[in-house]
Amino acid sequence: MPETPPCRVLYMEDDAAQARLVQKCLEREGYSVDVALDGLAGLGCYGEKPYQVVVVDQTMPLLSGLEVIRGMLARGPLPPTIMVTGTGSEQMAVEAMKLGVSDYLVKDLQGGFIRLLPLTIGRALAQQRLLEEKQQAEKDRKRMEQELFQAQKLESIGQLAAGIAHEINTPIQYIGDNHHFLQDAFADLAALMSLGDRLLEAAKQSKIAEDLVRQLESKRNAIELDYLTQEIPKAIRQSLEGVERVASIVGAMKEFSHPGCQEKQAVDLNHAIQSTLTISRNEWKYVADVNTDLDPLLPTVHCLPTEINQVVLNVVVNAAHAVADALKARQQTRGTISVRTRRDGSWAEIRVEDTGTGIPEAVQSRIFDPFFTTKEVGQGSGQGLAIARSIIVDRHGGTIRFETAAGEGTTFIIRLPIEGRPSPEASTPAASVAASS
Amino acid sequence: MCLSPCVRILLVDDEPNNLQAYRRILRRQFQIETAASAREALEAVRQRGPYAVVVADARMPQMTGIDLLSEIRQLAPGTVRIIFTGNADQQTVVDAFTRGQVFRYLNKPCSPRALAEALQAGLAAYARQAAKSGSRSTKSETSV
Repeated sequence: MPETPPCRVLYMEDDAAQARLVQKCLEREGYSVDVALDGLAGLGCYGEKPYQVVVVDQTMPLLSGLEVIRGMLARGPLPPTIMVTGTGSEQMAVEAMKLGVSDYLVKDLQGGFIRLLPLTIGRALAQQRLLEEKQQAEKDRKRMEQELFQAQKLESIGQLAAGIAHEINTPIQYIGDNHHFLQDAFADLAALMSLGDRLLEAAKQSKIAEDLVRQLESKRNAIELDYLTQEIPKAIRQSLEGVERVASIVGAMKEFSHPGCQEKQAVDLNHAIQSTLTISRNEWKYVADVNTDLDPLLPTVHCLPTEINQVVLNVVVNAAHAVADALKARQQTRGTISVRTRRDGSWAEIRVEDTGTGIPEAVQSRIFDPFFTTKEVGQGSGQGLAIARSIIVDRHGGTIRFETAAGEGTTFIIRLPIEGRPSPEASTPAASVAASS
Repeated sequence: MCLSPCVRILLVDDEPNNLQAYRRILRRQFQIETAASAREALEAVRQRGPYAVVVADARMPQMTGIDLLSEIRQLAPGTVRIIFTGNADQQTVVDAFTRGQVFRYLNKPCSPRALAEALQAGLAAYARQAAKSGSRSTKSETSV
């Protein structure tokens, strides 16, 4: 049955009487039908208004059915189209189907095909609907994949939030304290200077009272002038350091909380890695020394900056947790995380090496699986490496792999094409990510 | 040399800028000593203790503030314990009171006035408790 508003059909047929019959039949079924009596007129009609269905007779003057279909194709994708052929012209129908026509009917001499037309049209419309649903589902899937990335990013920021708050509160504490000190110190110095001014005045008039000299000296001692002279510059310098620290943490956070551009850009990977280390500092600073060996000649890499930041963050945080676990087992105080970048031909390589627990053989094949985690509840949903792989492999055409030795540590190796992958991403996400949504 | 009751205060924090800043704002009101790690703090308590008040930063490498205060509780049960933290989640608070048996809990950032008030309250609590137990807190004071 046709939908409301009435479905518009364009019927091309050179036999006027038959055309009228078809028109009446279809209008009875609720379709709205326009008729064209030759291929050229038909193509012209097609160009003027939109039709939900087109029915084309193969044998027509001026332009044949196939020629009309080719003409329609030149304008864009075909709507549901049905070809009507005479008996013995199935070859034409096959040609038409190859061009994308939905179905064909063979015209019988008695005109019985007319009865089949509504059914055939209905089927063609249903087919079209299915196709549109499939395209919509694909769009929805892409959107959900994007939301999953964003959710995982926020999750990882959320887990770092307590540590980041501490990292910001610490310099704020001493910046505040130092400024209270500076405030009092300034008041002391002002009082001293004021006495000094009085002494100066008296000296000009050669009227230096002993009492004044005593007062000045006593004030100088009371405010501990030597102490102030030493400590004031230090308080100022350390406060400025603290302000810079807060600014760099906030700057790193800004880079991470962007929803992420969908366009690849030229990205300085070394800078991205520095931001990642800043934002995750509280996760590693108590358990590991971090060394960086970032190639200063590494060119910018064509990639999605927010996504790459997320991948590096996930790997670094994993490394910090692995080291923390290892320290407990080995009764050591500190481990090491080393981050290296280098150029390898047309590839940029990032290596993150830790002296953590290593990845046991039993789980090695699963660590990239979505939601697989060896951590306790509330410590992470296990999406970090799955998302990392999806970003590196699917969206950038790169590789991510690891080398590990149980009890000694793990190295993650990420490779990205410097020029980026030439074609836009194919819509083939890691099947595992789609399955998890 | 400490008069009785003892009024010496030990501040423990792994961030050196913090220790210097505390000293600058508190030096006139209190007798401040500092330690840059839990290990240094324990050494100070063993060799130069007891202190009237110990203030420890909650998050430090190798040994946390709460673990440190638990240790100090064993070493010098009379010493008043205060925890100082930039990470104000509920679990830390619970831990501070149950495991650390702290007297006060301070959040960073903390104004100098709030810090000074907490220290005054700590000193008063130490004095009260020392008077009650009748023990002289000068017994192990051999150096400043």
